[in-house]
Amino acid sequence: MAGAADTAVEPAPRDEPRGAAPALAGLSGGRGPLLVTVAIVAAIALVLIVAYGIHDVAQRGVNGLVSGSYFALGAVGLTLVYGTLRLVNFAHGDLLTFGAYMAFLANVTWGVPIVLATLFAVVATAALGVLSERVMWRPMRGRGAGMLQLLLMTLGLAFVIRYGIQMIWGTFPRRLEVDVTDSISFLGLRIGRTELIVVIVGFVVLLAVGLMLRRTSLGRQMRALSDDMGLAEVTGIDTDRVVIATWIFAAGLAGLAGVLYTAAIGTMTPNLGFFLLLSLFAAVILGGIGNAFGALAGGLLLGLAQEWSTLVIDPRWKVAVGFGILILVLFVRPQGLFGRKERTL
Amino acid sequence: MTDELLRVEEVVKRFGGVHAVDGATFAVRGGSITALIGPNGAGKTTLFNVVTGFQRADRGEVVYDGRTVGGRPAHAIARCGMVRTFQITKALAAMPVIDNMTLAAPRQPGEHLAGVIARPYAARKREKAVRERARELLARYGLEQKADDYAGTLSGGQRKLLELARVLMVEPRMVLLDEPMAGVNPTLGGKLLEHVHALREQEGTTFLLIEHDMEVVMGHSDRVICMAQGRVIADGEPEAVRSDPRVIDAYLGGAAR
Amino acid sequence: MTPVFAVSLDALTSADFWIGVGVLAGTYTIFTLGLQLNVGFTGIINFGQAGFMAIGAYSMGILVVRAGWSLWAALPAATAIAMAAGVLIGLPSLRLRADYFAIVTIAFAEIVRYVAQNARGLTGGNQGLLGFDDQWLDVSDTILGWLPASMQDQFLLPLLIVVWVTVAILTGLLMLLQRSPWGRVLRAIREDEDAARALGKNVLAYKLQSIALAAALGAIAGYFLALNLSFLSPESFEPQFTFIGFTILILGGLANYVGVALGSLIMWTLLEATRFIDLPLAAEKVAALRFVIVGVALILLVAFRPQGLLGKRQEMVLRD
Repeated sequence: MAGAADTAVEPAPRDEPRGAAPALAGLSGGRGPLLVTVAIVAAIALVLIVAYGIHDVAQRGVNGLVSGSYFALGAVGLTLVYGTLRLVNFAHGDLLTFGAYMAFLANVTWGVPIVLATLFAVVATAALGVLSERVMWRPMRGRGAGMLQLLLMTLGLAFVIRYGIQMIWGTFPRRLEVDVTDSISFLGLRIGRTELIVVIVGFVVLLAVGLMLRRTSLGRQMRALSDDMGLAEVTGIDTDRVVIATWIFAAGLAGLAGVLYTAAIGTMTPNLGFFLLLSLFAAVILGGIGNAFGALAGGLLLGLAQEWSTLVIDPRWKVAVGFGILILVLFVRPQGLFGRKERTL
Repeated sequence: MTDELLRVEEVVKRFGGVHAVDGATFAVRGGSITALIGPNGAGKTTLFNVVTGFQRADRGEVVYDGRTVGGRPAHAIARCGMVRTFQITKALAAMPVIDNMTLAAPRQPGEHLAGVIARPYAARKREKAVRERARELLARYGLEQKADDYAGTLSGGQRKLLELARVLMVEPRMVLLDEPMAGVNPTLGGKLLEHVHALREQEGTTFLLIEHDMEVVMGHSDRVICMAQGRVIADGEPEAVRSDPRVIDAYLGGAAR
Repeated sequence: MTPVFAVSLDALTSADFWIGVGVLAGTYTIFTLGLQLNVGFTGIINFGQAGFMAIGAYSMGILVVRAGWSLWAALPAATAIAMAAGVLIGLPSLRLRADYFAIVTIAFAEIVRYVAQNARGLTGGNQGLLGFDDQWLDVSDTILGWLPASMQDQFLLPLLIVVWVTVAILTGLLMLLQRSPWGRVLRAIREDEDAARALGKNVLAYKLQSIALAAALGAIAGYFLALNLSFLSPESFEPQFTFIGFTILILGGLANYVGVALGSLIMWTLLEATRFIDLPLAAEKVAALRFVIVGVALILLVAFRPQGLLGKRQEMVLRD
């Protein structure tokens, strides 16, 4: 019986009514939180515009969308893996690193054009994700591994990926064959040509991801599973197929995010994914852990918050803004902006 | 009523859009054995969770012993003398039975870091008294042979007995039992009920229990409260509640679902 | 043809090597005792122990170097600061599901490293912080004076002695605490915190005490690390050091305080021995190799021997 694991905090399934409908809803919190969020962001923007002028706010907003796009792409995979497998994957950041170095391998070492190199990186990272599922996560789940065991294994994997890369390529910063100096101006706002491409690619993919999650049956199954594994099994979803799809999706997007990050920033080091992991977690928790749309929104919001923060504080500290947001969300609204208050497990 | 120990007033608890408890109101008399019945999904366990502080009500009030306890943390409510058990027993399996018991005792200075360091003598003295009491209770409940075994080795029925004995270590005035008879063989179940009656007679302990077995409910409780869909639909003497058409309706409706 | 893997065994027989390993192993035993208290005995997953170590060590260094405090006054003050940090981190996250605390603590450790690197006025940034150990060096010389003349050229020997005396004292104290009624409540919380709550135990307060004590242990480990290196730099406190601690923890066995020292000795012997593997690699790549070893060891241990050397298998597997 599913109720065997219930605790007093979760309502016992056999004693409590609950509908399947909320589990399949999009932003489970409904429209309310979305409107509130938009209102808050608009209010903050307005205050900043009054204080610092529209040009600066818009320019940093543009920068924020650049970083927000790779935060969002990284965060959505992290949250889906958590949702479907109850696995907090501390190796997720290193999947971004892996993607970046795969692109480097194809683009610089083999001389493949950047577009193809990016595709190669996405496929290779997705393959790594599936491999980890088959070699590590599925066997461990089969053995009924506890949470601590799984968390420590993700960390072990993170070390193997990160330092394996460092053993091969060293810590010297590497570049892709992209022009990071060329920039264009639009309405007085400056954006790097590569950054523009990053934003466009990022948003197109985010949109595609969003549509996929909402419109296709695979996407709906992934979200249903992410929301409630027991429910998904009962309703006859082929969980194994969905789990593999989730890994392909999560790891592939992580690989892409790694490439986009490198393209936007200019260089990669083996630590890049670990440094980004903090921001990805902040985005995931901000959006409500397990909620795919929440992670997309959380990533974008975090990008904006970090860049706008540089108007007020020294840019050196913008990484700390992510941490500040993480703590603030846990205090004020631990279920995240779009999460449901209490999950029925 | 002047001698009521617990009063639940218009309590509402929602999960998402679902009202698990939807304006429940009732009172429990001190020294009584009150049964809480109702079809599956009536909100009984959620109500227990709210009353004992494990979940926060969205609306309404819980008054225990003349004090509002709504919003207070679970451990504080337990310390006031209102202690619960769980539907699925929570025997601490990797701890010996005796430690399960001694753990539950209140006023142990050795449970605080300062006490461990500054009052080792008081802690040892209290521990000795607590152990004695624990052995006594275990003997009364037929578990003395098991005292040094891990709780995980007990049978399902023995775990229920251990849980009841452990609750008594807290020195409760009111005990809330969530399906005490579920999964217990009839002999052991009968014993458990005897203990409940004995406690009520000797110590004046008040009991509120969720129970599905109608024979138990009718034979052992002074008062029956029936819930359906988050509300109290009947409240009275066992016989009166049994023949109440709304109760019959709720159960039949529940069965038909 | 010369073999690629040539290990010069001379190094393994030298006193320098073993004293170095001993100091590191002792330091990380103290570090991991904190993890054992949190993970093994309370059931809270602290992934930020390196952050507490950094806070302790840097607070000590800053108080001595920047504020001119005596080292002996700075040590308890810095320990208190680390404990306060533990409580502040625990307050928002310990009320939530266990994995939130893991996420928040790892993020916390990264932020601490980040601050150490960027708040240059206080911490010296990547240049490091020097000159906090004069008073210790006096003590060290005194201890060295008590030792036989043949040992007097081993200037790390006093640190080795002090670190292991500290290990013995702390291990003993923790074992006593674990046998007290206080330790019994922790054990109950680890098994089922709702049961503990239902019996009137203030679970959050106990978890905060557990994390504060672990932070203090992390800080103490930080002092020994600082005295060993004689300067503080952000890279000595990177978040990944927490997971060397976890590898030690699992190796020694969960819920076993004695196992920590054993695990730490084995782990550091192995890690330091990698320095003497003659690989045709740059230094940064050999450093990377050590962490690959940690990663592989962690995965294999957790998958195939989660009980470690001295633990019970159920301690790891049955919990969730």
